[in-house]
Amino acid sequence: MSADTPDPGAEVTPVAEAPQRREPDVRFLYANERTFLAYNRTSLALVTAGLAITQLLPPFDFPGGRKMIGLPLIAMGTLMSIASLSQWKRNEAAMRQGQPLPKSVLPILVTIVVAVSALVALALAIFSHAEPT
Amino acid sequence: MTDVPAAPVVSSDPGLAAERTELAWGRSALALIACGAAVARGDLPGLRGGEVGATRPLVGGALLVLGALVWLAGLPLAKQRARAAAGEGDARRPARQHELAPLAIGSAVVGVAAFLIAAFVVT
Repeated sequence: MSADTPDPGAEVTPVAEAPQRREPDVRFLYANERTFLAYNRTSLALVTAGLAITQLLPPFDFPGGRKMIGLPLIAMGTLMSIASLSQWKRNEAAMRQGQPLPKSVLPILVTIVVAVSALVALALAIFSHAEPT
Repeated sequence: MTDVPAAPVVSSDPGLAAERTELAWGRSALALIACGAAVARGDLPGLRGGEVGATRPLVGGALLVLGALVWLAGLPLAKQRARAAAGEGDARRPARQHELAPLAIGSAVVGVAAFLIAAFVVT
């Protein structure tokens, strides 16, 4: 997700020392844009994974088991794509005004959703037998 | 890397940053187009025929259009930036919201379609 975000040579932060409005270093703006793009790829991956879980996995004998894993992932992915756009906008505005970057809830949110889905999947895999075909 | 004394702010060569951003655009557009193709043509068990199956070309077509918009937004932008990095012109500009929006909307459309399929289509 963040594999392509760091910028070499970005050790000097002109935005941090200048409270007045001025054009920030374009590399930081590009990095913000790549973060948006990466969030959207993550979003598409979550949606695709959730769809595959609900549609392609053989059902558990626990009713609604596949939906319990897949639907939170799809909902998270959908929310993420929209949230990443407003986050990009907020970050760019903060850079232009020399403000510190606003905190984002997306990383902790996606961590919780993925972890809970994984735990539910683990529980289903242990305690529920997949029906043949 | 953090303690370079009195390093001047270097903002004259964003060449590699522009290139990384261009590559990220390519990956993102491909991801969206692949998802659009999967929704339109993918062989999901719950979507063989029926009323839901009939809406697939619509959703898939919309996604392909959005994918094309992402492509059209990203490539000219990347080209301008590459030219700027090579010293031609001053098009070292950040993206505008209408250039990013098709990707976010496309991902959201995929998400909503997938949610409806996953929640209501019994396999």
